[in-house]
Amino acid sequence: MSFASAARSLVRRAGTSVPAAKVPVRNMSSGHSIEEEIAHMDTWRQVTYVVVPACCAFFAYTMTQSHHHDTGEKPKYSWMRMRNKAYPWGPCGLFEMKGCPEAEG
Amino acid sequence: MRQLHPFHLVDPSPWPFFSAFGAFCLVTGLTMFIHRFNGGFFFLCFGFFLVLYGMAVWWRDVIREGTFQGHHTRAVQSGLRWGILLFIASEVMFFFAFFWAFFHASLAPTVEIGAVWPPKGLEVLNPWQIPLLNTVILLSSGASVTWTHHAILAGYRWQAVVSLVLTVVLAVVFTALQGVEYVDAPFTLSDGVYGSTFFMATGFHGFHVLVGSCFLIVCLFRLRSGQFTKRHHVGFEAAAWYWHFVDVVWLFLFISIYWWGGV
Repeated sequence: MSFASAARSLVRRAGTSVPAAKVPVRNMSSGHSIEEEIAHMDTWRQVTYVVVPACCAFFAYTMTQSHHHDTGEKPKYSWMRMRNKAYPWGPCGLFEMKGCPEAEG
Repeated sequence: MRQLHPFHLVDPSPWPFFSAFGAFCLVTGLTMFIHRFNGGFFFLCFGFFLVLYGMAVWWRDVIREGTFQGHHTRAVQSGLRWGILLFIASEVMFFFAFFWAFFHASLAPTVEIGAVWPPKGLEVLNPWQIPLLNTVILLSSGASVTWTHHAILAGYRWQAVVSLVLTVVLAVVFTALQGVEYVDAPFTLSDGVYGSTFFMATGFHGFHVLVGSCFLIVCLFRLRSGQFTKRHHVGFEAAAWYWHFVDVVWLFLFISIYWWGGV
């Protein structure tokens, strides 16, 4: 028995009235009140409203940039394009959709 | 029957055995396929189907137990949260191994690759184009999924649905851009230790994005059908935590592999 409950028991025995326990505020599973949750929701909605248009703008900008790689003759180092045995699906790598030197022979 | 404890004593289920058999078929089929055995591809597809089916029916049962039968008490929810956190911790260890391989190769490059990083003669991806765009997209999806979480907690279901749809759209755009980047990459998995570490780390991250996207899509359907309440939405919390984990892994990938390891 805790000290608080022991004291309450003594008070009850003495015939005096025990003050009713304060009704706790009903919190959400996060521990916040509903008003706090609504405030958090509004904050994150506004953050999303800012970052998603920024994403779209950056997407448009990136798509306008050139993605060309250096197509000049490259030296063939021994560690490049290692093919010790064929892949089960064919001569090219999994993402080499445009073909590969091994397929051309 | 009166129950004097808050725990869920699960009924006997065929799905653990079924899923284990599916995983066995999947790995055996993959090994057979890679080594070009007859029937390897069929066995691989069969195992993949079994694993997918096992996942669907097992989690369907968990949803029934938690949402409709009331077995997920506060104590059970706490246990589930611990399980999710431990699972994510194990995923952190998984990615730690790939980062270790990358830093092992890049901090002291061997003479075979020119003693430099990136390896001599290798053209790498520009981190300030699609990789940076993907970073912004994933961070934005983290913001929108947090909006979903607070909307569920506040009981605003419509806002929760809209923000979750937005999160899924951002996830799909990320995956599509990653696919474009892979097809367009000037190096392959077989281009030495750079290609191996790059595709291993970013590929497994992409796989996790796919899994996280499926997880969020399942949550979207459950949200639409009113299965999440202000006080009980562990499934969504798991998806959101997983999504934030995927987000953080990408930040480390972008900073270390694309940026530091690419310039």
